[in-house]
Order: sequence, then C-alpha cells, then structure tokens
Amino acid sequence: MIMQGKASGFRLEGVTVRFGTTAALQDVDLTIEAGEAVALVGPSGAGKSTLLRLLNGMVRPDEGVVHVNGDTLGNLSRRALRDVRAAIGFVHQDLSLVPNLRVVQNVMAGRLGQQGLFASARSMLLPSKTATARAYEILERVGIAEKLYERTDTLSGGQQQRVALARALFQRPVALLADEPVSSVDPARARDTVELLTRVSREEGLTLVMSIHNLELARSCFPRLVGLRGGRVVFDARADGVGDDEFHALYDLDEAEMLADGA
Amino acid sequence: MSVAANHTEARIAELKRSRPRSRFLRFSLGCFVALLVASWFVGDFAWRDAFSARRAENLDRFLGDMRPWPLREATPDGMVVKPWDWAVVADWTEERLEEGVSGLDTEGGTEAAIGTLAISVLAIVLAALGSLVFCWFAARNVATPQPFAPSAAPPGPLARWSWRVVVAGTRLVLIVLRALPEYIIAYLLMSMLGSPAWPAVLALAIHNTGILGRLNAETVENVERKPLVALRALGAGRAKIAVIGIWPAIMPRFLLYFFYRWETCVREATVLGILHLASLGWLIDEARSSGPKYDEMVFYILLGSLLVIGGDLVSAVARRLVRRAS
Amino acid sequence: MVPEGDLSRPFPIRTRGAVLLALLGAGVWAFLHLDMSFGQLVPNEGGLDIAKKFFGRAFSPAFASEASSVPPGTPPLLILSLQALKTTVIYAAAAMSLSLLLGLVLGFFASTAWWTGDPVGGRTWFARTIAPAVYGATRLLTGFMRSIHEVLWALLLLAAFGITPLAAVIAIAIPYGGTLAKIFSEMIDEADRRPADALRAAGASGVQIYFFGLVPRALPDMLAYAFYRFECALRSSAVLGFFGFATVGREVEQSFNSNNYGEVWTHLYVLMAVIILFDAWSGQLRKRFVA
Repeated sequence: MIMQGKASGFRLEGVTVRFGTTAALQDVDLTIEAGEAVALVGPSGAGKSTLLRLLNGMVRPDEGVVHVNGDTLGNLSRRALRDVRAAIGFVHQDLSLVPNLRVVQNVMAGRLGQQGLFASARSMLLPSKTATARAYEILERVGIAEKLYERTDTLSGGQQQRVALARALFQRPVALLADEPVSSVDPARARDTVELLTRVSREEGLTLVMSIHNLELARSCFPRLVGLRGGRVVFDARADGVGDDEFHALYDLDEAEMLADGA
Repeated sequence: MSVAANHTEARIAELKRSRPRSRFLRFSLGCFVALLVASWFVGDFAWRDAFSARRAENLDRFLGDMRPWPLREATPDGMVVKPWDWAVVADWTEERLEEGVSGLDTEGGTEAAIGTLAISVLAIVLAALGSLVFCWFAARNVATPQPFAPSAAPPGPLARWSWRVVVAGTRLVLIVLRALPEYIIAYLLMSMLGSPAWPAVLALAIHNTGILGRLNAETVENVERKPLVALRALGAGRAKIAVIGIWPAIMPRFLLYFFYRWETCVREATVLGILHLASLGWLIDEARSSGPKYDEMVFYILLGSLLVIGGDLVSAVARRLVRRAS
Repeated sequence: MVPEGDLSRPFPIRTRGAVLLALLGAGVWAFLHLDMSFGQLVPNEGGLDIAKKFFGRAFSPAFASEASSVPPGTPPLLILSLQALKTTVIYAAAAMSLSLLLGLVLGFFASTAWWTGDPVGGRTWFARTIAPAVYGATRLLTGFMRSIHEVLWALLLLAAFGITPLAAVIAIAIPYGGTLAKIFSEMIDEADRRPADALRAAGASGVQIYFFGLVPRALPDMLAYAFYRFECALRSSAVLGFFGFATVGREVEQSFNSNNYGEVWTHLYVLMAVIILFDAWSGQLRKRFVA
C-alpha cells in the first residue's frame, strides 16, 4: 500500500511566530521531504508544538512562509486551508477524543474535513458498512479492533492513544504529525507507540514529524533529528550524527540561561 | 465478496451486538421521548378551534387594546386610533409608575416593583438559612456515626441505622418541600395568614429551602475529605468540623446557588401578586380584571420583565465575582 | 445546574463575614420594607380555624367527594384527580417538546462556539458581521422570553386568543424554550475544547465541530437539565389550573374554595407523588450518566 507519490513535503522559510511579545519560533528554515520521518527534540517551551501546528495550518506565521506540498499556506482560502488540514493527520499530546462517544465515532470524526455537514451527520450517526469496515481495519492495524463499539472513556490511556492514531489514519492523510504522543505513557509503552507510528507511516508512505522529549527514543526510531531550543533550530542531523555535543546544546545552555535569569 | 471481507463484516456485527449499553438509559430516554410525542396525540388541543376566525378577531381586538388608552378613543363606530404622541405616552407611563392601575386604589408600579424585589430577597435569605439547617443532615459524609474518623472501631448497627434514617428522613423532607409549586403554597397560606407579604415570602422560602437544601447537601458531600480527617484527628467534633472545615469550603458554591435561585425568586415573586399579595402581579391582575385594561396589564408585565432582567444581570455579575474569588 | 468547574479555594475569613453580613442586611431591609412583623405569622381567628381544619386533614385525605351535593355525571374524586393529573402531564410534555425544539435551535444561535475559534486567518466576513448580530439578537430574544413568567405569558395569550389548551402549552414553552436555549448554549460553549481543537486540525468546519465535538460532550448535562426542566414544567402546568385550564391547580382551587380540605390533600398528594417519582428517576439518571 505504498503511495509515495502522494506524500506531502514541508518547507519553512524564515518563519517567526510570536505570541504576544514572546517569540515561539524565530527565523526558522526547515525542509522536510515527502515520505521522510523526522523527530523534533528539545526542552519544553522550545517551540516544537508551535512548529507542528504551523505545518497543518493551525498557527499562522508572523513572518516567513510555510509551504505544504507546494501550496503556500498564507495564500489559501478558508476552504483550501481546511483541505490541507484534512490531508494531514495530527496526534495530540492530550488525546483530544470525545470521551463519551464510542470508539467508532471518534475514528469516523477524522473524516469530517472531507465531508459536507449532512454527509458527516450520516457517518457519525448511521455510518455505512464500508466506512465501518475501514474503521475496523484501521483499528486492527493499531491493535484494538475489538474496542470498536466501546465507549472511549472506558479505554486505558495507551488504548486511547491508538484511537487517536486511528482517527488520524482514517483521514487517509499524506502526512502524520504527532505532538509528544508519549509524554504521559510509561517508557515501555512509549517505545511501542513510537514504533507503531513510524511503522505505520513507513508502510503507508506518509511523511512523519513527531515532537518527542526522550532523546534516546528519538535517536533509535528516527533517521533524522531536528533540535529546537528557544524557538531556533539548534541542529538538524542524521540520528547517528547526534551525540553528546548536540545533547548539551539542547539542555545545558538552558541551565546557563536559567542561572543568568536568576541573577 | 471475499472470505476475508465477509469475516470482517461478521466480526463487526458481533461487536456491535455485544457492545456495552445501558438498558436503564435507553428505557428512560424511550419513555421520555414517547411521552413527549404521545402528548400531542393524547391531548385534546382543539386545533380547529385554536385557529378559528373568532380567535383572529380576538387577537385583533387585543392588539388594539394594547395601545395606551390616551392614544385611542372608543366611538360608536368602534375604536379610533389617535396619532402616536411621545409626550402623552410619557405622562401615561409616569401615572402607571406612580399611581398604579387607573381608576383603582392600588400602589404605583415603582412601589410594587420594589415590593416584588423585597419579597424575593427576604424569601431567598430565609431559604438559604433554612437550607443551612437541613443540608448537614442530608449529607452522608457528615450524618454518619463517626464523621471523618481516620480508622475508628466500626460503629454498631444501631448507630449506623439511626443515622441512615436521619439522612433518608431529611432528604424526604427536602423533596416534599420542593415538590409543590410556590403558587399553590402561597394560595393555601393566603387564607390563613392575614398579612399580604408573608404568604408569598413563605411560599418562595419553603420551595427554595427544598432546592437549596439538596444542592448544598451535595456540595457538602463533595468537600475534600483529607483536611476534615485531619481536623477530626485534632479532636474536633461534628459541629466544629462543619463550621471550621466544611462551611468555608462550600461557601463559593453556596453563593452561586443562592444567586441562581434568587433569579427565579424574582421571577416567581412578580407572579405571586396575582393572589393579591404585595407584588407586581397584583397590578397585573387588577388591570386584567377591571375593564380589562390590556394596555396597563401589558405595561406591568413589561415592568416585571425589566425587573427580572435586572435581577439576572445582578446575579450574573455576583456569580462572576464569586467565581473569580475562589 | 450548569457545571461550575472547580471552586476549591475557600474565601478568606474577612470576605466570608462581609458577604454574610451583606446578605443578612438585604434580608433585614426587605423585612422592614414590607412592613412585616413576626406577629403577622400568627393567624387571626378565621385563619386559625382554616389552618386547623386544613392541616387536620393532612394525614386523612379524601377518597370520595366531600361536597354535600354532587351534580349527576361527576366522576368519583380519585378519577377526577387523576384526570386533572393526566391533563397536567400532557400539557407539560407538549410544552417540553416545543421548548426543547426552541432550546436546541435558539441554543445554536445563542452559542459562540461554532463561529469563533479558528486560530488562523482571522475571522471571516461572516464571523465578523452576521454571526455576532444573530448571536446578539438571539441572546436578547431568549432573555426576553425568560423574563416573563409562564403564568404571565398565559395571561397574555388568554387575552389575545381566549381560553384554549394550546395557550397553556405555548405559555410554558416560551420561557422554558428561552431558558433551555441559554443553558444549552452555555453548556456547549463551556464544554472541553480539546476534542474540538483536534477536529479542527482534521479540517472540520465550525458547525461540524459544534455538532460532533462539543454537543456530544455536553449531551449528558443537557439531558439531565432537560429532565429537571420537565419536573418544573409539571409544576407550572399544575399552576395554570388557577387560570382556567383543566390541570391539578383547578381541582385544588375548587376543593379549597368549597372547604373540602380532604380533597385538597388528595390532589396535592397525587401531584407530589408524580413529581417525587420523576425527581427520583432523573436523580438516578444523573447519578449514573453525569460524571
């Protein structure tokens, strides 16, 4: 099921994002080729979430341009922006599922962006056999097919994580973005989840960009790592080229800054 | 269709059949919806009569009568409309506010509005005090043999059961208090008490004691347990825990509910005057039954509406302040 | 009631004292303004007589008519009472179905969640002009609908159309519809926004987010509130009996006016039984399905 040609590439040129007076990202240049798997690493507050939200048009750059698959996000109409979002799956840090809906409905919700109001009402309330079968198959791939009709809030945290992934896959995305998907999972599960995400993206030929706190995990699961600190790209390297120096560049300087602030 | 697809479909069907669902919820919803739909078929709403020409005529007359009376004139040929004149309307409004229903010895609109407000205030204060008496006995964490005891010897069955009876009894009292509508309580009290204000105040206070009592009991039950256990360990008794530990913690929510219910008290108080108790409803009813003077009736109804909207605003601001402070 | 979120911070002791004093002060002002005294709570001789007779029958309600002469063809007392109850329930249910409809439709327009909140691209022309205007107009309309008591709506409708069962239903449905619209829109607007944000990231429109991200989350609360309002509608419907409609209130008034106090208690108990039953039922629902 490789669809390499459909995958989406991203390009950021001189992007700055400000929230009030603080800059979340400063003058970032970054190119991610279609089908690539990239981990964003760095301390919290480094701008990883903001970068991810730039890539699917949930944040607007104050300066610079964002290209997604050749489209320039700033120029798009609202409808076209929604189309871009619909083509990109996003797995959130907090699971962001509707807790009192059934799993199948949460998965179906992934397709809202590709449907009109009435079609979406139908697929949420009386889904067709083919749509249900597809939801089932995706849940099977992520390993929780038997939960299809359970209430979402009765599932464990790890299982809900998979539902969120299934919802993203149900979009038939060309790229997958994941914002700290394992920050609240125990280490053993974390590796499982990250491996699941990389495996599925590889099999589907999706571009994968994931922000991740655990540098070790990132190094072993991703070919390319982008280090962010204070809203700037500190390094952008192949995983085997990221060593202690890069690690210190991310975290040690931070302490120095904190000391400076404290003084 | 392939065997695999068939298998998937069968599995989905099986999962759907065995999905967890609540009989009770489905039954309740089914009954509720059935009741709502059935009401339109069972009830005799006399549809044809409701839309007859007679009704249309009636409506026409009512709309004409709503015009302030100085701006119209009854002649042998029917009612003649005079041109709209703001000065006349202003005079008429002032008269309604100061003198009440024309040709009758009632109090003025302003006075009645303030009276309505006073009834609602006194009633909600009494209800709040009443609810603060009841809520402890209806809260299972306080009304128990050894409240907040960290690890005491288990109480004997007699103590356990007598406290259970206290909780159940208090809850029954509260539910009975709130079961009857304020209007009916006021109607019954009216013939027994001479004063024009007490029946209205008591009726509102009784009903709202029932409601606030339950809400406050729920709040008491949801208070964080740990600090109370600590208080208990320091040797505080039931009453002391309630006053020092629980009351400060429930106060924000107590105030929110207080203002919520005060809003409805203002609304109800405008109506209770219909029983010739000292509120706007009295003027509304006088205007309706003398004449009828529909222009004045509508005027006092709108005055009441303003009062209620004002009450809503005050309550919304007060609740926002409470939320900000806690 | 609307969920209030976490209110865990207790007030400082000085605020507590001040607030309590203010409330008690308001009560005292009202007491003085109304020229009230506790002496007025002691009924006069006539009132005392009625009170004794009335409360004397509290535990011996009538099971047959107490009137000295009953017109031929009058059904037995219990049947009469149950008929009035049936009418009360029917009016309440019909009014509730109308007001639910009003509440859902107006609640949509009284909500901001479906036209605000996209973080990118600023607000569209629609969200800058038409949507806020419709929102404001709906808030005003529902505020007005709520501000007039159902009994007063009934008086207005009676004056406009004359007595007809529909007037009772509509009189209840107008203020209740306004209240439901307000409460529903608040529940939906205050529902957890994180699922909504996820749907937006998947390309969903504001209206889709409203219906599939926010409404499902608020639904248990909305349902519990609708059940509570139905209980209120039963009371309102009963009260409308005092204004010419054939509900429990009319029976109460007639029996009380003819000094048949046992009958009054019968009607009261019948009404209370239904309301308490419904209260217990909706309490169970709330306990099981509203977290």
